[in-house]
Amino acid sequence: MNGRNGAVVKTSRMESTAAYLMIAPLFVLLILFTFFPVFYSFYISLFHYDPFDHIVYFVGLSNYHIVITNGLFLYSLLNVGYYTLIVVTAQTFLAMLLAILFNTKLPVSRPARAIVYLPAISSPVALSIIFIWVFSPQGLINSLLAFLHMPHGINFLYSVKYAFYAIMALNIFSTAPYFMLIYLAALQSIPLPVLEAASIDGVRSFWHKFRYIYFPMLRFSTILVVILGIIGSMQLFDQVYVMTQGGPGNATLVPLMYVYDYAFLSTGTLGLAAAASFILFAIILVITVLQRNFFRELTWS
Amino acid sequence: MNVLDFLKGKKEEETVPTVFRISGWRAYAIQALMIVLAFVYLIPFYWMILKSFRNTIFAGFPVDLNPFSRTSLSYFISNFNTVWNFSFSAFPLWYFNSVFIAVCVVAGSVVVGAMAGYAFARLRFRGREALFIVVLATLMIPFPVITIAEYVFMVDIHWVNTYQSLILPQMASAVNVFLFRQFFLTIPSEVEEAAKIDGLRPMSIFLRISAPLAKPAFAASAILTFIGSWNNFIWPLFDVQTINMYTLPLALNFFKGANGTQIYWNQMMMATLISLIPTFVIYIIFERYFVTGLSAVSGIKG
Amino acid sequence: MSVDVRGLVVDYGSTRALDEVSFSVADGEFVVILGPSGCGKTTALKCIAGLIEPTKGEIYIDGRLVNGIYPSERNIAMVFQNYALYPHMTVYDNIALNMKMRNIPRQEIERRVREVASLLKINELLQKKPRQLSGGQAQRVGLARALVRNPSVFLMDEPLSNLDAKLRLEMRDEIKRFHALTKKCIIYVTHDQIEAMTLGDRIIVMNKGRIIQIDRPKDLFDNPRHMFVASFLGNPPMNLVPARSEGRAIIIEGDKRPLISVPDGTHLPEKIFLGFRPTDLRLSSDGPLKGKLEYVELLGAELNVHFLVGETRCTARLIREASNEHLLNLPTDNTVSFSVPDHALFFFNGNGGERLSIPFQILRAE
Repeated sequence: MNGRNGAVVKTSRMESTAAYLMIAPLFVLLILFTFFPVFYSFYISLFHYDPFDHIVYFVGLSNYHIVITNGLFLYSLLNVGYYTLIVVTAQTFLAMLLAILFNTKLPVSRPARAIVYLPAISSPVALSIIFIWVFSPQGLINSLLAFLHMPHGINFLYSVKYAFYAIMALNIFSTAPYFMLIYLAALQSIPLPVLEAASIDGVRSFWHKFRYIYFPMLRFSTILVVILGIIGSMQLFDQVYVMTQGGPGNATLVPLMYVYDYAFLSTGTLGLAAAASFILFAIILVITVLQRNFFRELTWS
Repeated sequence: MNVLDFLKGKKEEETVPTVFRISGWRAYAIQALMIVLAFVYLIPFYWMILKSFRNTIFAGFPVDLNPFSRTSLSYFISNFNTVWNFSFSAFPLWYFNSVFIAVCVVAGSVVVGAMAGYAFARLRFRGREALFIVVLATLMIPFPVITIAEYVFMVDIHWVNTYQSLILPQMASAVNVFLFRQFFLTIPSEVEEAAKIDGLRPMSIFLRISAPLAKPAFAASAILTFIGSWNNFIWPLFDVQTINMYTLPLALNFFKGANGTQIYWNQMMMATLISLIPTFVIYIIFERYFVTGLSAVSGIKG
Repeated sequence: MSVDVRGLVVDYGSTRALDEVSFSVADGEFVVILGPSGCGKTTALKCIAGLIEPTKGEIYIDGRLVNGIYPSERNIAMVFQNYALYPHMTVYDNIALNMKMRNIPRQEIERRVREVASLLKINELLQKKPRQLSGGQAQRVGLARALVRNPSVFLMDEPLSNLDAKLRLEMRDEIKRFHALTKKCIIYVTHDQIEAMTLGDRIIVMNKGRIIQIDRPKDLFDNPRHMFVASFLGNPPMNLVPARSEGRAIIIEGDKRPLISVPDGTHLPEKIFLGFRPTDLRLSSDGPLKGKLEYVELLGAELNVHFLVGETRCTARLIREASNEHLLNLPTDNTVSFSVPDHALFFFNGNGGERLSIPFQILRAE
């Protein structure tokens, strides 16, 4: 191809130019709306920021000091930590179980699996609202308890004792199918010859198969599911906001709820909210990086 | 059929996934279990649908599961009217908002992702590896935790509560890039080579040859992105300041609190049903894509 | 000189795909690059086409240095193994695309497409889409697309590998006719030695990124310069028997009796490979080459005799005659002896595989 002045433009130049043009929009978006906010988040956290009365002044790290020493944020971190522990464990097992169950060539498998997957595509808000009913004193759970002649009438979401567990149940219920897919993909790519060879080698019963073949092959997926599960759980917000707003009391307070409260419900505490969100970001980042390194170690082995 | 096969466009018959073959009593037991599970997962939605055919009176379990008890089409219609015309017919507006935003996000983010994915997969340029790692890095930045900064940024540039502020941040997604890059890496490059020899420039090759071949990737990407945008709650929650800009998740939440502490469940469920319909419809039509496409994303994310 | 390749080196990270590859192709010549998978032949072709940029080296087409120049500007055309037709365009558009890109007027395009279509007999296919074509038809479209460009060089990357055996034979003829018709230079890549032998004016044999030998087919067959070439060409492949040298004698490994003697002063490496083609052996009662019979295959008018020399499995391909009819009933483990004419015996360096040209004399058996 001849350039305008007649010089020949090289292939490599052509490819480079085209490439930069093609990745430009992506990077503009990423820089503006992903990278920049991270730094901006830190920047804001150093200020007392009041957009409504336009009072903005530098406070250094005092926001961080307040957030850390104010037991509420730490309490929310503990809450979400406890939540993560229970939910990730439960949903991982459930996902694995579902995958093994649904990876069968039976007539019921495909439609049943399609139904079970419904919560994964539904809006968390919609699910939360439906489950407000499920957990309400006249809702599904209580009706079931009544039907079974067990103590009933409990208002789960208003009980300090049960509210958090209700939310956990909702999320285990609705997130497990999403991770079931990952396990399904993994199960389906176990080469059939491996299973056949094992059968010939005498590994017949299901439990043996599970221990010696499926479990090791699912290790990779399990790590993935756990990492994604942890990252997702730490960011719990939608359901808490819709169902309990952090209550009753602070029983279901999670870090992002704390951030929201301080961002909107008080004036001049936007800086605090920014500090809190940055701390949460840092924690998640550390976990992600640690897990990725751990992950890489395992893939080499 | 596993992810990569799907993205390559292999037909169902060509791929042989390892599936368990069970017979005898085990088959019945497992199917029974699956039916129970499906039942359990279906009940909340089932009740939701039924409730929108009812009025407010509540009767209890298991009577309420009976699809014929106290349901009627007239209740359905009146519930629909109440919800749809709520607050001076705001519902259609909210619906429009969600649709408009989702469509824009899908259009923008899929196109951006396809171009970038192609460039990373097929073109040679300086810094390709490094820049891709940068893209990878953005996956480690979860959106909710930068919501505050994002919000303040929007305030600063006076874009709060606008369509562009709702759309643009959602378009900054590395997920689509990954999907397309993976796809383009796995399709044979001969047709593109022939195009080069015939004189097509890189951009033309993308537009006229590679992109038309990438229909499965476009579908999977569009569906994923649509659902992500449709269900997005926390960002609109921060960004939207006036009722007219509500998206459906916000609208639902608002609807919930609109009557004080009293929830009229029949109307609430109708509202929820209305908001779930698009995703359900898409799901029913494209169910295949979900199982394979979504696991593609999570697989790549790891 | 149509195409001139000098010192081509292609590195992928730490792997070297092409190692100092140089060759020239004359105007109108049909050159075949032959070698096993992964030997670099396709890489070399793609460098000439401009689809791969070499790490080092120069490529000249029609005397012009084309390094870095876009493929469409190099005056080349390429035919691919899996046809690489544009799937969503008709055959007509597939062929016409290049001309459209160069803004040639529609009438001219029409004329040339039809001209090429008649030459390759694909007139009825012009409105079809690639997925409606059979393998042979698709490849003819590929040829048409290349032909219509009127290039200096045609590059063909294993164009017959995707076709079934019968079709391959037909298409081989087509390509011969294609060459006669265009009288243009063709560089043809394949791993099939029969294709190479029947199509090429010259053959470039490659292995592991290097050129082993460039010669006319007959010379390659009669005078292989390397063990690799000797064993690659010819069906059934050449027998290669390891041997060692002791002073002036060459003894087959596992034997004690010297088979070959060389004159004084001849330099012999310690390890040697003896090469002889199955078709050059003759059954001979006092033949110097002795072995243990394994089994005999009857191939109609020929016999495939499998025997062990030392620990090496060897084959002899004999035309059935009265003199060797008895082989069919000979029990295993019997000794069979063969003779081989002097010109049909090859010596290769056991270290490296190069052909040794040494004067020698086959010793008679006692």
